[in-house]
Amino acid sequence: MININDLYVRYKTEKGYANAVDHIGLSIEKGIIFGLVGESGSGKTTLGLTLLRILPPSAEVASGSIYVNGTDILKLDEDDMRKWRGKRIAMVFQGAMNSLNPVINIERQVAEPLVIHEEMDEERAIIIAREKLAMLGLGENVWKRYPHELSGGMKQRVVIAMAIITNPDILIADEPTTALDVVTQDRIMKLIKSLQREYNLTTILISHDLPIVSEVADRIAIMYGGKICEVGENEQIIKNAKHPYTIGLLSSIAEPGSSKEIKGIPGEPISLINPPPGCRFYNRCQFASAKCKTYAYKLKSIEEKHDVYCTLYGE
Amino acid sequence: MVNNMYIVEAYGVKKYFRVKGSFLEKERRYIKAIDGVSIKIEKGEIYSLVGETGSGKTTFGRILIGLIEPTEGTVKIDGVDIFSVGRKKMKEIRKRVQIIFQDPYGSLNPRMKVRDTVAEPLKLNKIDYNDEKIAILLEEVGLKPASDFMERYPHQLSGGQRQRVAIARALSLSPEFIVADEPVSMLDVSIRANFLNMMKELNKKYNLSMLMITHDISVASYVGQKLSVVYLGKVLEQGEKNEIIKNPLHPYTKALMEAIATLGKKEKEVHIKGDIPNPINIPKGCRFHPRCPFAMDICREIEPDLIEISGTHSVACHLYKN
Repeated sequence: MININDLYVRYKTEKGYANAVDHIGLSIEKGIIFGLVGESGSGKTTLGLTLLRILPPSAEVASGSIYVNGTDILKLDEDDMRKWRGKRIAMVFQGAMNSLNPVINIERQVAEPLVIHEEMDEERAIIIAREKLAMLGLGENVWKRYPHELSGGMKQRVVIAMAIITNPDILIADEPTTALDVVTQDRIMKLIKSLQREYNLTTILISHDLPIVSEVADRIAIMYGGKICEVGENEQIIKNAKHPYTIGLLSSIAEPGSSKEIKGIPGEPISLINPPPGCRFYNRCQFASAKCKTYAYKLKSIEEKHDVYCTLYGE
Repeated sequence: MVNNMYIVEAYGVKKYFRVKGSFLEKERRYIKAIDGVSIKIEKGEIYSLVGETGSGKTTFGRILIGLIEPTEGTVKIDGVDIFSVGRKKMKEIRKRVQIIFQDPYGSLNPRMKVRDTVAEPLKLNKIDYNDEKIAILLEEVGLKPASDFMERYPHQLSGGQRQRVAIARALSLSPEFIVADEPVSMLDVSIRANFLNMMKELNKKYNLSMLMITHDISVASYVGQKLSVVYLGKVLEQGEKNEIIKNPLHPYTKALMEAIATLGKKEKEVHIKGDIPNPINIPKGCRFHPRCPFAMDICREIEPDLIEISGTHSVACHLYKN
């Protein structure tokens, strides 16, 4: 459904270009939940913004293509793109629940995309908005309320309702559980799972939290320094991780009741500005060798559907 | 001075914040941020306080080191009641307790170099110091070599490094007790583990007591020996960490454990309803009852006391009788 090839997105900064998405390729099948996991500054949000073509002015797509259902959306003109945006590809932005309009009630806010994009009259749009809200577990008592009267979890549902009200094919959810309590996190994840089950919605779930992603995602890609390190089926990443960064992330995770010593990854995440050639993870990797310094990120297949970018598995 | 077993003791601590409402309102309304909490932290122990947003855990941490005065209750540090001693004595106690905040981007002065940030408590307390002493502190918290960091400003540091500077600053006066308020919640996962390990090492090396405030029960389960689960300003479960993690008794603790995400695809069942209510309107009876799947008639009427189940495990729930 989505085919990303050799995508290169960079930001102009005072110190030079920041290579946020650095020549990456990915394909995402229809109807799956695709987890995109990385730390802050790994480029995962930029990748999401590129899919909607809503990058800030300082960013440019320097090369590559993104095919969605056979159309390269990077080649669409702005008028055509507007028809895709929100309608076929929708996004739940990080922290969006804090950006709801405080003086418009919930049902009118959720209806707004229909009024604006589809020029529907407001009355009809509100009826659809109510259906969507009810579907996401927000009943009649919430419809006329204002954002400040809702809890964080309820606001996140409102934001998701707004994103899916136009029945998009693809939903991009950027850190939808960050800053929520564990109980609410779990509910939001269940909601995303149920949207997949009931509407076959293809979801790209962007998060720094590997355990949360691993509970719902079908496939998982791990990003570091603007590059994909490893991509595979959920189980392949969790049980048979190959890239030293993925292995490091897995060993950083504390699980309650387990007495295992957690070990972080030494050092600090790499800057995206003028990264050294070769593997981005080089200076933090315990298996680094001379050949990593010139590594050209050639995909290596470990098993069916499981690819890794690392010299340990052949150059 | 008597040799106390506990570095911090809190008895029946309450903190009500007045809600500013219209003058037409007849009744004054209060947010009951902390509504009767008692804990004892032994010297050399890491004690975790687990709770959701709005549980009052941050307010409580600040009360323990004297930053906020409680509405009711007493707090003792090494046996001294900190809210009844004079200013001079309080100043002495202040040196022995420190705090690190959640947001390493907001808690360091952006115009101060790392050296000056770490040295500031020493300066304020008129204690002699030199670069060597600062360097030792920086290396103690893993900022090695210290000379690489001394001259930097906060914006030249990553989140993890900033949080380490905050720890170095807290350590500069050789405190005996540190309140760590969500110290890792804003750090990346790969950085988080090393930071927690460092806290554990500091605790061992200096017999440094800590209160670890966190919303993440897996963080609480990884560090520390004791645990209190707070909900709307009250402790629902308290005791040895290992006992609580292995055998959570309160329905709320159970739900928190059920809800936590672990590696691997699964669908979990989490036994809890609704959201945490507003602390202005704390439910009558057991404050957890509207969300509790096991709520009985008595729970709607009478607030359960914290009762001992074993010498090292207490719970406030009508499902259990001592």
